[in-house]
Amino acid sequence: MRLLPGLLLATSLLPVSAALAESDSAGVQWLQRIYAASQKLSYTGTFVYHHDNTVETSRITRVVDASGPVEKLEALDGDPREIVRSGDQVVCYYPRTMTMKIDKQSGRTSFPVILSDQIKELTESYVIRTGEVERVAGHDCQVIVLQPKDNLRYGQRLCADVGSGMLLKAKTFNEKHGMLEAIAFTQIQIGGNIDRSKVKSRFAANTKAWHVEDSGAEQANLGEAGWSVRAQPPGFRKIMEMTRTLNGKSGVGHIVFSDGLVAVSVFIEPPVAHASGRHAGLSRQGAINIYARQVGDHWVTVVGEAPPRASS
Amino acid sequence: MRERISTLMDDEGIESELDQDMLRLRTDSALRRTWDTYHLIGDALRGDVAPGLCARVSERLAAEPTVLAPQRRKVDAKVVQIALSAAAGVAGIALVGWLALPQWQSEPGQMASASPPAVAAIGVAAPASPAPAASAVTPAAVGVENYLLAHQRFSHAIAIQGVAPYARTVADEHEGGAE
Repeated sequence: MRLLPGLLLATSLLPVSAALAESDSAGVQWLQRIYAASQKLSYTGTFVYHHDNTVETSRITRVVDASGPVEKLEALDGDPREIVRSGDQVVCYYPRTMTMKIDKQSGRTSFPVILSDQIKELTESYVIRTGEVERVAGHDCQVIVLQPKDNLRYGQRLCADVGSGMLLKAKTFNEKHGMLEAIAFTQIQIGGNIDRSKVKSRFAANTKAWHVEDSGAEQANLGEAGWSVRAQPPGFRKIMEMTRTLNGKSGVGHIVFSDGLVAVSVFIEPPVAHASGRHAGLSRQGAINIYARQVGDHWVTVVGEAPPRASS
Repeated sequence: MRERISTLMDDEGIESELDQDMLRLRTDSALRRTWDTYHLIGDALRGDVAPGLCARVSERLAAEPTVLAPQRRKVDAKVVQIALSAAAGVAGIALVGWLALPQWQSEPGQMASASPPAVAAIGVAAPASPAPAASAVTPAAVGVENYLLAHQRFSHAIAIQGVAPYARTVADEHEGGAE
């Protein structure tokens, strides 16, 4: 891998204090507990997504029963929108434009398992420590701070319900401790009887005339094709390669890298005859960075909730 | 047929089948797109795409007006990290553009004292780095919400293993509207 010569020296001057600190075992155990809770709990609540001086409110409900988990996210501000996830399928309902977007991942088997394994490896990338006990949405919750050891990822401050392990608050911050985005419940019911009708979209019955966009996502064995990442960034690993239909174009390559906590997607679009109306550039929302550029006839788009240098 | 493409690209094809495969590649445009994409991904991952392009983009950006001048130096010091990243080729492509990220414009509540080492590094880094460009802070891709949507399933996966990250997509659709 190439280093820009003039910049080599610069790295050696970057702060190393984070790398010298050690994770505590309680922090790692808490992450495992949060992960386990996220797999098995049913809950319904209201949370705010705070980013870039904007606050958006959503309702989220998750029901786990014999037929598996189903989740629904419903925007409470602005135009009505709903997102329902069941199994490996995500369906988004946009009633204003009468559009339904379907993303079904076929052959997706190993993803959550890999992430579970990766929790242990997170200590290589983050210093993980428990903090104080706070109160969020009426629940006592334990603070867990993940301080990145390098500049390839953002820091995280999580707060999980002491009783259930349910994550109630997550804040992403940069190396200057500036907040990039936060998700926090303002009200939540954990467990108990939650009606399965709450995870059904109220638009689902009336979508006959709607426009349907199907991602047609399909695992592509780019690895078998001989593609390997010769220099894995520390702590990140490639977790998925696929092709999908995106913005009406089929055969878009999609590669996902993850460090177990955050992910970076690389989209590579096949050539199109008319690329007009598109311009290269950057956009950002909260901790998500998006970068697009034309490379020859192809469009390459990188999306990740990681600093620009890791979104690569 | 995807396996066949990979076999072809690895030079492991059986000679007798080669002509037939090549014919299919020539006649099947979808297959050819796959071939092209595989090659581009490979080139990008190996870093073969980046250097020349990067330089050209740098030149172009350097010629454009600076809009974030006071902030750009802080960013410069971090650029070197890109070289360590996965898909370094793609990183190289992104490198110049990332410099102008609007995230550096204002960070409410940031601790000024936290960054002196980075500031110290700037003197070294700055000459090699182009100025952020006006064009680079405009919204990027067409239909951004679709990229977000495709990405969110992998996002914050252990933290809130659910649909919560999709709140970002919802927000995006709300603000930017559908294409």
